[in-house]
Amino acid sequence: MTEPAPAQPQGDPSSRRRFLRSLGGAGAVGAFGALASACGGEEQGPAAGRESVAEGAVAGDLDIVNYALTLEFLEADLYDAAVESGLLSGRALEYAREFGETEREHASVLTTVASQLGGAVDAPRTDFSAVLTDPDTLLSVIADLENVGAAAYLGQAPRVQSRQILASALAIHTVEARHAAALNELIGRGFQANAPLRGSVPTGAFARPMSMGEVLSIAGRYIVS
Amino acid sequence: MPVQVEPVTRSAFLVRSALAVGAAAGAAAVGPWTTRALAQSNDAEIVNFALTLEYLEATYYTQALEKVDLGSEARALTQELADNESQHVQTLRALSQQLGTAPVEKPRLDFGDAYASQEAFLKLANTFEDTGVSAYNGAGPMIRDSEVLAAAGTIVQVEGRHAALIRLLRDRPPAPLAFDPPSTMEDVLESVDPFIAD
Repeated sequence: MTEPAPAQPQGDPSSRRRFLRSLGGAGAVGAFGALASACGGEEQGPAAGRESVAEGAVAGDLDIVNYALTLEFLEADLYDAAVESGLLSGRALEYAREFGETEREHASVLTTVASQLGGAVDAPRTDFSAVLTDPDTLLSVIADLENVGAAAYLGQAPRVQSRQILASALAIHTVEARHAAALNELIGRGFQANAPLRGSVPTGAFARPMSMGEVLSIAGRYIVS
Repeated sequence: MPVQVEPVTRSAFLVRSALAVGAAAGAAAVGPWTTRALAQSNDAEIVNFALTLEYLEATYYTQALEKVDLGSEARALTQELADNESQHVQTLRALSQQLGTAPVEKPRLDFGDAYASQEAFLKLANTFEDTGVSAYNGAGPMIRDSEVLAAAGTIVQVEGRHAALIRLLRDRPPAPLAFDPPSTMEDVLESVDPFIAD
């Protein structure tokens, strides 16, 4: 890509390595130490990373990270199931592959952060068989879960104590928002209106957060144990 | 909401850093507006930083509706974006006042050749939205008041959605990275400085 991109590389595939490199150039945004070390960044040794993650973190932060991790596992499983189902084609299949890979990267980073804070949850056993019926149903559920995911991060961000973990959460939050917008657009929902899940899409110019309870009441439908 | 005032030395440090960045990047000079805006240190100043970006976006889209020959899809999205960014401006102005500061006024803006075609317009819009996302993500962890952080969050999620939609209109991947990188305020202000006329 030759066009100027002051704040973000354009059109590149997702890559933890690339992300880490971009962090190396953002020294003033030191809050990313946690994520950098969680990604196994070359710039920081493991000891420094552990201090960085733990700094300012409280017990609630671990719960929030594990909650986010559970949602990422769920999304990643859904994309895997969608790809394997053979129901999708074209742009929908492309999204399922690319976004699914991204959710695995999110899960990988959050697993490392949670481990450093005291322990990562196991991946839940998921079951999407009820929605693997036809492309429209499947895509509608995928879009719902992406919108819910974005709303879930938004709901927790102000509760995170560690600035490092907050920085990581914010970096994921807007990617979930991008996924949500792309899927809403794909299924003709518009980028905010007409979604069946109240609370998961922006009202006018402002996104709406969802509480853990609201999120789990929806996401829980697909979690067996 | 408590407003914490940092010692002036921090502002001075940030301005020096910005000037150093400008010099390193080979920029001829960092404009006086940028230097003023760089005196960031507390929530009110972060809100005013965000307000400046929203002025930029709101003005860009509002003028484009008059000045650019847009196709129907692009026009509908641009109208939506103009409305959204104008609401962000109003909210951030109110937030700045709640924090006890006068909202910064809208700078004079000049978008150069970006209105020459729909393609050029969307390209710069793409840059503004991705820049906006990175700006909020970089500033977020510096916000002290959880209510201000929550407000910033409701806005940045919409910026992320805007970025994805503009990218789709340009046949670009909507979410090119697994993690949206943060930008420092210095980097953001440097990248928007060319569009600020005074």
